[in-house]
Amino acid sequence: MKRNYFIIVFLFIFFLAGSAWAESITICAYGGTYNTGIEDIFGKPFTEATGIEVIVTTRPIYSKMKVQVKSGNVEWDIVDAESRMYARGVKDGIFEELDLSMIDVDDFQEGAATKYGVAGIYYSYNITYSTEKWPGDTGPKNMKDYWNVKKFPGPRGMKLTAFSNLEAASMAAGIPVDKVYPIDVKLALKKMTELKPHIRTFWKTGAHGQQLMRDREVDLCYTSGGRIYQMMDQGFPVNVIWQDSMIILDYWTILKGSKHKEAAMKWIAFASDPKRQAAFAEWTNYGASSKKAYQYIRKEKAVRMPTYPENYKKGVLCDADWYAENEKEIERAWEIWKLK
Amino acid sequence: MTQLNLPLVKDLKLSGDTWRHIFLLGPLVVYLCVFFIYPLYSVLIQSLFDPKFTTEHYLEIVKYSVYVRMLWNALEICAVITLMCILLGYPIAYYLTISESSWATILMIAVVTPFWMSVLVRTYAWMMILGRYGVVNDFLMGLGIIENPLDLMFNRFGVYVGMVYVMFPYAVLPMVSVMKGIDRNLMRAADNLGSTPWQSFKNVFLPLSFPGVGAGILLTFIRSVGSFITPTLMGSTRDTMLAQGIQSQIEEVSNWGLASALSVMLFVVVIILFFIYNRFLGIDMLWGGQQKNQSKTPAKGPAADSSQKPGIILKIKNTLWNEERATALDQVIWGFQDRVDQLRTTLSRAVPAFIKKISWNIFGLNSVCFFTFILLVFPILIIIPIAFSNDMYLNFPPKTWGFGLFKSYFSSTLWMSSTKVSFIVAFQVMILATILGTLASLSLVRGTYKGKSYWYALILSPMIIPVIITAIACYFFFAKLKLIGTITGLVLAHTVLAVPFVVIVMTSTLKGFDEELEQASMNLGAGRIRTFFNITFPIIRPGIITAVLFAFIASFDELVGAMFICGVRATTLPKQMWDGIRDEINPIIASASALLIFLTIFLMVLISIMKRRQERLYTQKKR
Repeated sequence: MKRNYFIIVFLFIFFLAGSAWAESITICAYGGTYNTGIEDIFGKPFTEATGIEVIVTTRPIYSKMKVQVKSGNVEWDIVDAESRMYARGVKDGIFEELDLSMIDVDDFQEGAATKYGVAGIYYSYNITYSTEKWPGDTGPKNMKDYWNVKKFPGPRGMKLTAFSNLEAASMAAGIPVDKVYPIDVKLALKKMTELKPHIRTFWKTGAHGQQLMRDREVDLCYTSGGRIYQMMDQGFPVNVIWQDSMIILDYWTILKGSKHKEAAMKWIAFASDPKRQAAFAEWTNYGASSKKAYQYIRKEKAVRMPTYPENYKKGVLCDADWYAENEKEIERAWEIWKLK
Repeated sequence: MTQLNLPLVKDLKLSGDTWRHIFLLGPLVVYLCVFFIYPLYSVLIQSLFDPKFTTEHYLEIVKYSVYVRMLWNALEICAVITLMCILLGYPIAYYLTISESSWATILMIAVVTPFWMSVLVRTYAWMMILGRYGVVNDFLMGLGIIENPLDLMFNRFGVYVGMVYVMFPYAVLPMVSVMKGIDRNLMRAADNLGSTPWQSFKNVFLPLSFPGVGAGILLTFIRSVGSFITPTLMGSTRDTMLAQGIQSQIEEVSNWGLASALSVMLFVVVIILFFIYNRFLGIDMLWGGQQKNQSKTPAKGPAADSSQKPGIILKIKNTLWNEERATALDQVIWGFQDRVDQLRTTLSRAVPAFIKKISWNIFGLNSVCFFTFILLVFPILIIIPIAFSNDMYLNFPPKTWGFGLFKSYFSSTLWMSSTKVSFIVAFQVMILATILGTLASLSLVRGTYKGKSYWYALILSPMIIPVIITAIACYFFFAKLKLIGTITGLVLAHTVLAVPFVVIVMTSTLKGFDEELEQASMNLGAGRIRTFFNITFPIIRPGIITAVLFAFIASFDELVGAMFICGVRATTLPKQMWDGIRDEINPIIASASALLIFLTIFLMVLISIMKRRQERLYTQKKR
């Protein structure tokens, strides 16, 4: 018992001391090397410049965010909210309004700097495949090929959510990338049923998709391009193509009721600096939202990014608002489809 | 004195005895009501009030057959898993009961370790084994037996394997418990009367072990019905079970109302199963159903017999058939068995003498046990080598060797802080749960009031109710108290989950304790408290240590509650590993797992030493 008291008291003092000395902000992002990038490129320099501690943690879960805001006990000051989460959050009013005077709004791509969120990166889902099975130029070139199990036999991996599957199925059914939204859910699910026997499993996170490709559990996977590029750099026989990809924005947002609102805003402004955005983009193989950042990105890396013009026009830009409006029906239809 | 009008204690006169029981049992009951019953109740409220009264969630369940289908999947899959666990588990339980050798201890450790092994460790290992290019497929393709890899994962087979692996101890341990209480003299009597070993097993031992089998079936089924982690990682979407549906409603869609309604549905199903079980076998059987030691209460002869419930077949027969039909059925069954016996006798004459000399029964038993032992140990044998590799990704067999992963583990602030939190939480849980549980056990074992089985049911219910429901319930409640993301929150939630284990261990310990020793001490002049510390406590100390260790492990390895309650500053090791699987799949997880395995094995060895000591300390032999 005594030992426990000692530990408790020690921890208590430790935390008290910690919070007395330095303010700190907590950023919730997606983990792994992504978080390492945030720490090294944004976090540490920020702490050096301002003295504010930066803690990076994982996995924004929407329901947790809501509970935090509702109970007033906000743990995640900044959340890296991907588009649909962002749209829902705006609808439900859980984000603080940002002080946009602190950043150079014109520098940002269209729609990337808004009242409630500033885009950090553009990432993508791409068709990726094993070059062991289809070396050189013989791999699938678009979604129709991806669906063509005769020409490209082998197990596939898809995301566990309706998001990305509905778009993929629509494109496979022949809808061009700029006319994907609004999606005819029934048609898309029918097309998905065609592919279902060949979907070996569904991935939940980028790292999971990466592991599936690495273990060769699947030969083709519609998953985060950036992660698969990382694998390519490490020498794995995989390839990433841009036709029929999905392009998604990630917004830095501040949860309503955060006790470190000003510090958080400072951090967002800090992170929006073109040079730092460029460094982060190169690290993650994702696209920067600042136009000036491209001056600092090397050409061989730039061609891998969703925002590279050649790539950008081949992909579907995610329509978060459509999802926010129809979420209940989409989820229900998807749950039913999954069980078939 | 005023009369308390509580229905369950109306028979008690308010003597000092009553107050003693209230003080012993009270703290735990109050604790559970505050931190378990009330949160559960608020889940029910959440499903009906969102925030105004609405039945829309329940209507949704009825309208869209999806959810009912998930429930049906769960029931179907769990039935198969339970059957497999019982079939594989019975020989193991039998072996553990009759064997005196140290193999029994090793086998026991092998049985129980998967139980405490983090669900993620276990899943990793099976992914390595069953994957497309995993151990099994590599082996079979290497031998040329198959051309293309077999689909052993991401389907029902994967779910079956993964879940049988973790549910196995829930099946085996109750059976061992009951089997140990079967009086072996009965078997010897049967031998004396001329039956073969097989016959005495079939006619005497087997029926007497049915209560244990029943307990095993109940526990296994109910625990598997509520699980979602293994099916998520190893199954296909077609086999989605209800608990997964609940979890995805929370994580993906954030529809707490529907999640609560589904939880209520799951809860109701579990309660129904529990009542069916109680009707046939009685809740007493759950914690071993050991009849009070016969030699301890010689005067109670016939009463002691009646405390053992009749076998389940008899009970079903009594309920469904009347006397005549039952007798006729009996005659048919025994007649059939006689025929089979005659056939065997005839056939055995044809068999040469030296083959007859080999004890086929023992040989069969040993081979089945050995085979199961290999299956149990296999995943551990996979994880340990990976932990000692320097690879950057999970590979089996590992490509490079070294202590690199352990070094990374010990030098990573993230992993070290989560380990620290796990230890801190587990220490506190161990103390809190043991105190609450031991006091309650004292009351439950020694007290002579009615309604005991209801208190037992309440205390054991956290073990029965699917963890996800408890986790959600605590999450709602703790969010209001601002306890999410704190060590205190984790301790409070884990205590609820650890107390059943403590109570089970302590009740069985105390049942074997001879109260006459205490009475003798008090006769000689010692007061109650002194008697407790000088007489009772030293004797039951090994049991207490066992309980303490169980509580520690229960908290240390707990994942589902941690998933909801952990926060930035208070994350446990299993939660860290869970995040790791989703975000990074770093092989550090393997080294963390290996350390967990070593810790678990170490603790299990300790527990078994304690048990031996406990058995020696009882002044009366159990057999």
